[in-house]
Amino acid sequence: MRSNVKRRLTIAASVVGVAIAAIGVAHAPFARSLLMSMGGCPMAGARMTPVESESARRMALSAIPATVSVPAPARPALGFSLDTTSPEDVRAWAKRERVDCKEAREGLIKCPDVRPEALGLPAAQGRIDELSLEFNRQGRLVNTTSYRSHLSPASAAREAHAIVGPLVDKLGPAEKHAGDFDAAQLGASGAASISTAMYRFTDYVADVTAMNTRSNGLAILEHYMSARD
Amino acid sequence: MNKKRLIVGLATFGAAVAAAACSSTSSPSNPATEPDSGSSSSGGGSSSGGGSSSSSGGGSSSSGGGSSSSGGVSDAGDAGDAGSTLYSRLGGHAGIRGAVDAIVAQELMNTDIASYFFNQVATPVPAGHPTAGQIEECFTDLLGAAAGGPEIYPSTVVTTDAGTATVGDAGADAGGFLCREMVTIHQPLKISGGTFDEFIMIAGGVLTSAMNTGPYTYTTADIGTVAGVLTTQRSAIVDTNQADAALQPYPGPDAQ
Repeated sequence: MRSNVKRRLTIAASVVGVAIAAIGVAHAPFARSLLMSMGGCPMAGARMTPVESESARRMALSAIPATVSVPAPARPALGFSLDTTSPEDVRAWAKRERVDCKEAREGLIKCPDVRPEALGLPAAQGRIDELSLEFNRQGRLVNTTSYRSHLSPASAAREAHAIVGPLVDKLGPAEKHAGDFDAAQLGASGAASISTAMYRFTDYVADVTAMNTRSNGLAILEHYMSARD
Repeated sequence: MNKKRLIVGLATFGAAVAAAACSSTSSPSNPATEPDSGSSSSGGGSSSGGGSSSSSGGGSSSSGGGSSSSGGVSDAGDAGDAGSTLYSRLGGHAGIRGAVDAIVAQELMNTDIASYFFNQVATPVPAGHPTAGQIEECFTDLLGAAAGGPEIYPSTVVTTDAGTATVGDAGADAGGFLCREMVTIHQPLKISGGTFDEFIMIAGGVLTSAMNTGPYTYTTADIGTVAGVLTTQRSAIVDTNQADAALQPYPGPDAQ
């Protein structure tokens, strides 16, 4: 009986020892590439949680308070509903539209290569390279971003106008804006290529910026965020 | 007996390797946990409110102004009013700080970019790390020096009840945070070329939309100059192995 317990303890100890050794070896410099190919250390890099994201959002909103003291007449967010859409809703949408979305971390879903039609948006808006959907601690969508890159001046102008036009229809003229998203300007280099439209309401933030960038070529960044608490 | 020794030896070896590996993700000497580190004599305070209050006394700075680690570009690309300087068109120290605050706020709204500020959005900000306000003041001094202002970079910034300012700006006594060189700050963050571009794009959008508002009389050419200052720092900011990589959130300390 006593030797049986001893044997089991020995087996348990050896299993723990081998496991610790394996974890340790996996973290050694020579095995880092293998570790990364397996998805990296699950204990590393998981710093941003919905708590930190919420903190970042509040910091940003408090630094740039709304200059217009009215709620937005509408809160477009790439076909989703701010403060309402849940991760489950997104997963169901992704399955329905056959979009390959991944949970980048808790509270953040990223979807590459999204057709605008999958979001109920006009085809003229062009394919989205990456769609990011961020949720608060209550599991409600609060932040959405789309990114398009490596566009030609003509297609960037066409897509940007297809994005900004409906925004103006729904929200009115942008509170802050520069440039007019035309092909000639977008085809310029660096700062001269920037066109932007920015909205700030008491409950909503929307920005669209286009720029000719060094690594990503001509890019369009769309951002829609809830400013409700 | 041999079996026992083997087990004990194996466990000891494993624990030692694991401890060594784990210590590399938690020790202060590991850049991954110190991505934004400078030397903070007082923990830097915790500016959970974003530390976005602008420092007063535009243009004041520590003595001996004018030197810049990034090279002065005070009027390169000057297209503003005759007789004005880039520094004055940016609204001096207070104007630059206001622009930097707006840029940081806009960057924090971006899910990917915000992930690089994980220490600044933590409550409280971990000891030894700068607050958002301190980073904003460091960045202000960097741009001020590059724009031909009297700022010196690296500088020491302090946090008081009135906000965060460069030492000498507000006579604060809360202890200082020494702004660090670009490589020291950014190397552990493993920033990709795509991420850098998105940061520039967001900053460019903020600056462009604020043109000719408030204290600002800068021009598109001036924005190009400011962007040029940032772009000259690209090699110090972007990780060599990630130079061609797309936009990505902070990849974590184990990324190659």
